[in-house]
Amino acid sequence: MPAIGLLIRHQLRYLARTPAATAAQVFGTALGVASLVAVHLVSERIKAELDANAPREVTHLLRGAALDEDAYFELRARWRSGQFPDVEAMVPVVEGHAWTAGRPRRLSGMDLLADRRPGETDTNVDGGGDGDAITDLLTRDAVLAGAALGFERGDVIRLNDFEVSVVGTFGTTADGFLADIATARRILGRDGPTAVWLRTGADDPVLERWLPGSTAGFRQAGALHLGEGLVARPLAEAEPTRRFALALLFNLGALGLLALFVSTFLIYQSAHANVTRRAASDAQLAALGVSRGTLRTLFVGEGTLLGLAGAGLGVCAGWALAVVLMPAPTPSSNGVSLSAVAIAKGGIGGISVAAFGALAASRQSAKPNLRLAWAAGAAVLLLASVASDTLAASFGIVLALCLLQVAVLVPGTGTFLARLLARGQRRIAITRRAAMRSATGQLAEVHVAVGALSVAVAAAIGIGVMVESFRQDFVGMLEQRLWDGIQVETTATLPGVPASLDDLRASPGVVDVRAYARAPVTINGLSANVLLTRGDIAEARRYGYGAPFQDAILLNEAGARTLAAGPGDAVRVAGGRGARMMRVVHVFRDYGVPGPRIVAAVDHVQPILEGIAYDSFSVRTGEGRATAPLKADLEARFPTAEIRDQSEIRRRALDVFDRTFLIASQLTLIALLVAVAGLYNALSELQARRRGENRLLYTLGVGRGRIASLAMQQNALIGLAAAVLGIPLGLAIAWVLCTEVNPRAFGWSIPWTPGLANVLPPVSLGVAAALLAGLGPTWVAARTVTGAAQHEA
Amino acid sequence: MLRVEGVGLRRDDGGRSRQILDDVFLELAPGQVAAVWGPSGSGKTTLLNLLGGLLRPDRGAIRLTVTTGPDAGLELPVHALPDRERLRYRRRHVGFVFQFLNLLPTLTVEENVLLPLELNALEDRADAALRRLDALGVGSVRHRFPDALSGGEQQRVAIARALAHAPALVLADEPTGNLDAGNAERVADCLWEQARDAGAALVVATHNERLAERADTVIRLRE
Amino acid sequence: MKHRQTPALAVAAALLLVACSDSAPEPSAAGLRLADVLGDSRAAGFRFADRVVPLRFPDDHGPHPAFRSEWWYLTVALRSPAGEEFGVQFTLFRQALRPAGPQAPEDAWRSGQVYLGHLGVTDVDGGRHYEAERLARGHPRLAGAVAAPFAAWIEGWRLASEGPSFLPLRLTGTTGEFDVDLVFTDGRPPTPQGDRGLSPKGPNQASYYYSIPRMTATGTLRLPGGTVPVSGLGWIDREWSTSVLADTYAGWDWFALHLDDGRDLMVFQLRRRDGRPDEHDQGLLIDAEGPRPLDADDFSLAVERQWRDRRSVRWPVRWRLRIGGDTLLVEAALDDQVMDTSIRYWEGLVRVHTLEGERVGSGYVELTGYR
Repeated sequence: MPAIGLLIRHQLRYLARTPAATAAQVFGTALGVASLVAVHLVSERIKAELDANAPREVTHLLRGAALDEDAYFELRARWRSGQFPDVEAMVPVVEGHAWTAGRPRRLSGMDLLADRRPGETDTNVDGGGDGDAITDLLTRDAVLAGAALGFERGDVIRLNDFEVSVVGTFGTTADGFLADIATARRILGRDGPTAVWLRTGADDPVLERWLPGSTAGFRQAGALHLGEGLVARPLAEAEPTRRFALALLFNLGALGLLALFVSTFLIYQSAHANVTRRAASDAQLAALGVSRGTLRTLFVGEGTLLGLAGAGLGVCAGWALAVVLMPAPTPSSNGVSLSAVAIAKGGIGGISVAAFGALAASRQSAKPNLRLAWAAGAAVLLLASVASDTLAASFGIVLALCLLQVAVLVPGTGTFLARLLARGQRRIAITRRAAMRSATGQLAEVHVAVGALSVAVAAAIGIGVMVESFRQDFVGMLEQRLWDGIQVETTATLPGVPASLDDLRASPGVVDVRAYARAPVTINGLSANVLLTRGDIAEARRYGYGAPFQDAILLNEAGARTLAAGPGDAVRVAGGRGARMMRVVHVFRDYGVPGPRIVAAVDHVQPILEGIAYDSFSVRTGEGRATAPLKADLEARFPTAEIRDQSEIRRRALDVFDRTFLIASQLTLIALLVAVAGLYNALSELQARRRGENRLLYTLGVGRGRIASLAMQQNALIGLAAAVLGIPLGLAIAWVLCTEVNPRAFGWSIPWTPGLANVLPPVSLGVAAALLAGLGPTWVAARTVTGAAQHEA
Repeated sequence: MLRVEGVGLRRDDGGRSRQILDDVFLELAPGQVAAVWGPSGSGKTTLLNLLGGLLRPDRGAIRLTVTTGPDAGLELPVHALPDRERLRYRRRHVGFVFQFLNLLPTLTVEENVLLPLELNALEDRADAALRRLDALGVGSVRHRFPDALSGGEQQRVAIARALAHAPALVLADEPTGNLDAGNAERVADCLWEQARDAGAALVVATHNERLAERADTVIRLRE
Repeated sequence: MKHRQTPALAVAAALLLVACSDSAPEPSAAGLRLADVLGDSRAAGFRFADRVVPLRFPDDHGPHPAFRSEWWYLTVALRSPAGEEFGVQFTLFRQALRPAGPQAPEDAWRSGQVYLGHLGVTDVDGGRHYEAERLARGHPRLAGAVAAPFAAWIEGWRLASEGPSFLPLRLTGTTGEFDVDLVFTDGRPPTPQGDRGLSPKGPNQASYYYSIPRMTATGTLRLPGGTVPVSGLGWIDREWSTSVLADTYAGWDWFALHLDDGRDLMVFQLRRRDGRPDEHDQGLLIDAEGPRPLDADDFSLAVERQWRDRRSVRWPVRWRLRIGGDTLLVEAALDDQVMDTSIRYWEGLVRVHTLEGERVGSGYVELTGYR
């Protein structure tokens, strides 16, 4: 290409001559990327913490009376011969409580070689790093001790009647032991595995790496039927809080993308202003024979270059933000580390957004009616998304609404307001009247930047309302489901339960003891589970229902949706011994259980079942009562059971949540900062266009202060319009997330609970953002206004 | 009464100092018209900016004596006024008519005319100012926005706006430069007539010989 | 939140790596090098291959737990009735975590043995190479080997005698992608390599090593495209030792060829890091007169062509093999026969031609230590 060197020099000098606009473009990209990277890193970190509390990548848990060593090996052989192609790994586990220093401690032994490739590494274990730990674990009585126990590598301890070496430690808060399955079998005196952990292809590792937590929303893990009496349950069922947290991450990730979306608008607006400013020089170049294509290529190249700079800054800023938001839990453990995926994500996102923005702007200047095309596209997307019931479609709704906001609502409102202000207003000073009309008229001209601010405000509102809705629902769930006290769950049946629990009821501090049984049934022919319980009001309240249900059933949301049944409907429930029509009195939100499930009173359902085995019970204690002695007692009594302190679980769950809130509020700020950068460019452009009017006013005797004040009023009006227009969009985004995205992704809906507290701050921040963005252009406008040389204009 | 005494102005122009105006003298009574004539770049607009208080001369003096209204007898040393006073001077005692971009596009004809009255808190003169629109033949378009007017109409509205607050001095910079010959003639007639009736001294910068010839005094500027 | 259950799988993840590859300086995602794994120096308590011990059968078909590592290694060159060429490889590695006697362990779950199985199929005409990998502890129901009646298995992949005698032998293996089912009938008797079965692999390293070439194979392969009946020739290699490869070596190139004139040929060269030829290179030629060991001077190998894989590793895929007065061209039937398993190496079907281009045989080549 001839003279390309000169053209590039021309381009670079142009950038250098408009440092503020150039900086705003880089800054905007950087902020968008920063939000993307910060959300990614924080999600990665939260996900890792969630995973540290559960076997990594395990998706299903197989337990039950039918599980013995023979059954395990037969199952494994069937799997290896090609049955259950979805299963990727199968790990036998022997778990139970072993006594040390007068206390029972949890001992988990798994086949350490059942799911590995040589080459995997793990950083959670401190085994001294010399590689002897695995050899020791596999060849002698050796364990890894939970870090909270205070043992050190090299200690020799007694577990039950065995002398055992501690060959390493793990975790930061863990207070149990890990061992090879051979060691656990010996110490616990058991033959067969107590459980089998399974991993299915439910977590797409690639998708999961790029969007941590995302697959929780896209794939539903159902129960796996592996044979007679061998039903592996999704781990999520046992861990609603984990699933809940994943759901939040999932939604957060989606909203994190919104910041990048906003910065796309910003970059577009900056690039558009750039194209406009350069129209004259471009026309000259075109007249000299430089093709439009060359000019466009140069322009997009320039945009890409700025995007690269912005992406680099943004990755660093996002990392810094994530580090601040997620400090390392202990000084010795790792905090947030910058992953290659985060860098790639930020880099690709920033550069492509910048290049796309520049390309769209250069096209737009050629075809001014592109806005209509965008609006039409958004409308089509909206209609198509509303018609579909997939998860992707519900995100399509959000995207379409944002596009419509920018392409239709903002410019339309500008035009409407301008018409409204064109007459009357006798009581408003004429200068202000002029300024307001000018501002509303120009709303339509810089609709992309104003729309971006509007979307940013909407995102902030959406995040706030979504998180608040989640929190209210979550706290409600914790309070309903997790009573203060201890939950005891077992692999198969609890011996002697419920009869043997009577003495517990009499223990000091114990308020109530409830036993639960589970059984497979079919509801209207669909396979489902029933939880058998006392049908009293206390139980009913746990599911958000206010009356006893001795002769009726409670149905979960997933079941209600699949069966198209609701309160008042009768469904046919069939068990091993017969079937019966049962009345649904309430539909409850069932966190983490994707399949149909009913809760019923024992006496109501027992007649159709083959017999009941109780597999769990809960001991409710008075609020704030120390549960440790009770827990130790239960651990001794039920050595193979899973024993959980409910208040501890609640504390941890809220902790994860509160940290997630932090990122949510930061996201809000980032989105608004992005909008400030975009708006700065737009308002600069507006004030530049208004130079003639300002000059006239100055000549007529209107002082600089008054001109500045009018300019700020214009900025405030624009900010207010954008912010107010952001309210309905923000509420709509939150509504879609709570009532469409979440049920489609996770099977339960979140009640949409908008509050003024979630709406007002983003709106006022939006107006503040507009005023902040307007300071520079206003100052320039007031400083440079002169009355001279009117006829040279 | 406007008195310009030996006004001169130098300007830095591309690193070189250039004498733009040198030793300009003028004395203009209320109701009289002075034309500033010269080719492009001779300093016509600069002189108008000096008279309007938008620029300050290096040498000489500009004095305006108000002869009517509540400020009658007030003598303003325009060349020496501080910034705030010059702003007030411009707002209260000067009316402007330009070649184009005279009117605020977001205000109607009527609002444009009322603007100087509001700026000077002289709303009581609104009726008189609006009657002048009729006299200028643009009363029927008073509710329209400027972009709906012809060039001649726009200039007539600008004249009404320039005289609305009864200034002692009206400055017109190529007021007919944008119009065809017939329209130019009519607009010039209006300007002359209205300024004289209002008792304002009128200074018109033009490179149009015919227009200059109609003035009481002509200042000829060389390039 | 199930805080009582700890990251057990993650814990398990690192461990075998560390256990098996103490000497690997940088275990990278690219997988371990076979030579690194087999060159582990932590060998206290294990027996060494340091003197000639007469091979005894059937005992030596079974495991030697007193030695640290061992493998059962089978390669087969096959053809379908339509003449399409296929190759099959099955390898079972045994690695001991601690020395053990010949008796069965007290606790089946704590055998101290780790087994790694590899199964590979080359579909030459389809241009594809399939591979799978399994890892398990030594346990009667998971992985292991016994001498008589012979069997070596890992989770459903099984190489075992069909009756009381070693032959006939059957290989069965199922993966999600492909299945192998081959029966081997007559073949040569077990033939010791090196000095009566003691095969030097460096100045102070050696292994016990014997081969069973020219086993007649028939059976079926199930590939994504369908099931194919096949027949051909198989070759078993058995090797056990405690320390195999010294640091001066990067890896080895190993050839096992069945020639159409009835000769069987094994040669290997140890690739020194300094690039010089090594005196320990050796081979074995079996013809009508019986087996004849080959010294480093008796043969030479020259690489004629290299192929670069997707990780930019260059593998030799065509050689000029000079042996006595003969010169043979050995070329990969398919360039990409990389075993992209946790241990990364090239194991593939090769064709043998004369310099004039006449096809005179088939076989297998193993290349390790390339990166």
